Amino acid sequence: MSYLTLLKSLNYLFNPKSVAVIGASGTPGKIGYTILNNLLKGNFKGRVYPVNPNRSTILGKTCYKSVSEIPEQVDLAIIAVKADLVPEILAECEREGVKTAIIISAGFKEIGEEGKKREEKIAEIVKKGRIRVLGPNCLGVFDNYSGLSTLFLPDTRVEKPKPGNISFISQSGAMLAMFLDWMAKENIGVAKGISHGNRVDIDEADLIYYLAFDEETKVILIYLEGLDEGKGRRFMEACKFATFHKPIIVVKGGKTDAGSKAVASHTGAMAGSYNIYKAAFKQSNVIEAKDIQEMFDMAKALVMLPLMSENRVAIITNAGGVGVLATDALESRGFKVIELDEQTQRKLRENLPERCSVKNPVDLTGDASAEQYRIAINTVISLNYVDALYVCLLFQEPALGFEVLDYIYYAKEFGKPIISVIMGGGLAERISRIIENNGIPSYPTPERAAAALYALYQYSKIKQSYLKL
Amino acid sequence: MGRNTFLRLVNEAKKEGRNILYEYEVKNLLKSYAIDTTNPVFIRNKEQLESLNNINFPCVMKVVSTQIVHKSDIGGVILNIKNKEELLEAFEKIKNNTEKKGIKIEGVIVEEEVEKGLEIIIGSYKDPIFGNVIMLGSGGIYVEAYKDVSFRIVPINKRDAYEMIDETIIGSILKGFRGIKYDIFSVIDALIKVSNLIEDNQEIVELDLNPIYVYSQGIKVVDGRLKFV
Repeated sequence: MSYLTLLKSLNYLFNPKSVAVIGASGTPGKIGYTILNNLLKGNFKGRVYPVNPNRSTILGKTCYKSVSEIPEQVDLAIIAVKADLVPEILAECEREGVKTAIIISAGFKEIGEEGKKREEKIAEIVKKGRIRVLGPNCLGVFDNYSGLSTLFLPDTRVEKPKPGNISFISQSGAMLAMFLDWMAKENIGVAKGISHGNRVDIDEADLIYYLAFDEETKVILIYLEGLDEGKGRRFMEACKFATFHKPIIVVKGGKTDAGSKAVASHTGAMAGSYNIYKAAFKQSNVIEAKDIQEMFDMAKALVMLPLMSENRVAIITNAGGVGVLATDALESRGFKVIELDEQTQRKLRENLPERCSVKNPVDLTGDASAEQYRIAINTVISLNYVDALYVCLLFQEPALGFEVLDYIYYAKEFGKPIISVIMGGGLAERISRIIENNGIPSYPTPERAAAALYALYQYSKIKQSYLKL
Repeated sequence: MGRNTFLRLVNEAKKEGRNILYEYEVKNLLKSYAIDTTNPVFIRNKEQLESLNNINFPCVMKVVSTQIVHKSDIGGVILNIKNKEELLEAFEKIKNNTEKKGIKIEGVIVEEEVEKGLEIIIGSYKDPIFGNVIMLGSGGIYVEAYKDVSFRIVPINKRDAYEMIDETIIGSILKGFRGIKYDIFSVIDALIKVSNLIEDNQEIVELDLNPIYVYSQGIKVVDGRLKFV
C-alpha cells in the first residue's frame, strides 16, 4: 500500500463526513446509546446515522434498518453489536462501500477459540482491500479537531482535554481513557487518541505513519505491550519515518519475561523480548519512558520547548538543596552543569547581593526577589555555551514575588528551552498550572524535570542526525 | 563466497541429520567472512590422530558431539598439550570422560593454543517479532550470570556497533579501563561481519561465538555454535 493510499484510507477514520452507528440504542447506559449521544451533542460536524432494525427513531434521529438503507456514502461505521453479529454486518459494510469501520464489540481473539474464528472471518473481509478496520475489542478514536469520539464513557468519569498537539496510541482502551482524563486535569492539549484493541487490520505502524503526517500532532505517545509476530520491522520503519518529523515516546508494558524458552545458546537465553524491544526503539529513534508519568512529563517538554543544540545546562535556584538535587539529576542523565566564565561571574556578583552564589547553580538563596531572578536569568540564558535553562522556584519563601513568572516568559525570546521545578504543596501546583499555560513546562521534583529535559535532548540529537545526512 | 561455504556446510550437516554445525565447521564459515579464528583439525579416531603431522605444540583438544552444549563442563576440553604422547593421552581422557556419561561423540578437534585475551561474546538469535538480532556481551561461561549484554536488530551499522560497546560494562573495559587498551575497531569490524553473515544466511536461528578473545591488536574467535533450520 502506498503512503498516500494509507493516509487517505485512515483519514476517513479521523475525519469522516458521514458516520453510521450500528447497534445504536435509545436506552441510556447502553454502549450504542452513549456513542450516538456523544456524537450528536459533541463537537462532531459530520452527519450521523443510527442503525438498528428494531427502531424507527433514536434520540430524535431517523433510524435505519441497515447500512444499505442510508441514503449516502458512509465514511465510517461504528459497530457496537453482539460479537456473533459482527462478521455479517462488516461484510455488508464492505459490500456497500463503507470506507472504514471501528469494531467496538468484544468477544474475539481475546476470549479463545470461538472468538478467534470470528476474528478470522473479519480478517477475510479486510483482505479484499476495500475497507479498513480498527479493533475489534477497542475504544476507538478520539479526535479533538474533527470532534469525533467513539468513547462510550460518561463525561462524569472521563474529562475531555483541550485541543492541543499530543496524540496517544494504545492497545488498551482503559489506558486511552486514563490518558484523556489525566491530560484534562494537567490542562495539556491533546490532538488524537486511538485505542486499537486486537488490531485485526489497522496496527501501530499504520497509525504512526498517519500521525507522522497529521499537522495537529507534534508528539506521538505509545503504550505498547507487544507487536504481533513478524510485525517488528514495519513498526521500526514507521518510527524512523515519523521521527524525522516529530518525536515518539513509548512506554513498554510487559518488560519481564514469563516462562523460559527452550534454547541452548547463551544468546537465545539472554534474548528476552524486552531486550530486543529496547534495541528496536533505539534503532528507530524512539525515546523510551520508564513509566506513564515519565512519558507525560517528557511529552510536555517536547510539545512546549524548542530543541537544544548541546547538553550544557544552567541552573538558577532560591534553595541550595534543590540546586544540589538538580545538579545530581541532570548529571546522571548525561547533562553538563557547566561552570560560568569569570566575566559572567563578575557581572552577576556586581548586580546581585553578596549572599548569592554565582557559580552554576546560581543560588539566589531564600531571600531572592523576582528582580534578582530577572538579572540572573537574562545574564545566563544569553551565554552561547548554555543550551538550556533550568529554573527552580520555591514559593514558600515570601521574598519571591509572582512577577518572576513574567520574567521567565520574557526569557523565551532567547529561543532556548526553559524548564521549571516548582516544589511544594497546593500553591506550588497552582503556580505550575499557570506557568505551563504560558509555555514553560513545570515539574514537582528535580528528577522529573531532568528526565523531561533528557527526552528533549535525545530528540534534538535525533533531529541533528537526520540533518547531517 | 560466504554463502556458498554456508550452503556446503549445511548440506553436509543435513545428510547426517544435524541441525547444528560443529565448532570446526563454524570456524570454517567464519573464515569465509574474514573473521579471525583458530585453525582446528577434525579427528575421528585414534588412527587419524596417530598419523597427524605438523602439529604446533602446545595445542588444545576439544570434543565434537551433537549431544554437548558446554564442552568444558563434562571434561571435553584439554589445554596445554605439549607433545604427541600427551596428545594421545588427551584423546583417551576425553573418550573416557564422555563414555562415563553415556555421551556419543563424533571425534575431537585439535587446534593451536592461543594467548588468552579479554573474553567477549557475539551472538545472534531469530526473534519471532523482529527477526534476526545480534548480541554483544561479556563472554565466557557466565554470560547469563553477568547479564552484561546489548542487542540490535540486524543489519547494523558502525554507529550501532559503537553504541553496543557503550551500553555494556565489558565495553568500558575494552575502551581501556586501567591503562590496558583493547582493539575496539576489531570488535566493531567483527560485529559488522557477523551481522552480514546472519543477513546472508537466513537459515541461521541461533549463533554463539563465545568466547572471542580481544587483544591489544586483533581478536580471535575461540569457540562457536550454530543452529539452523
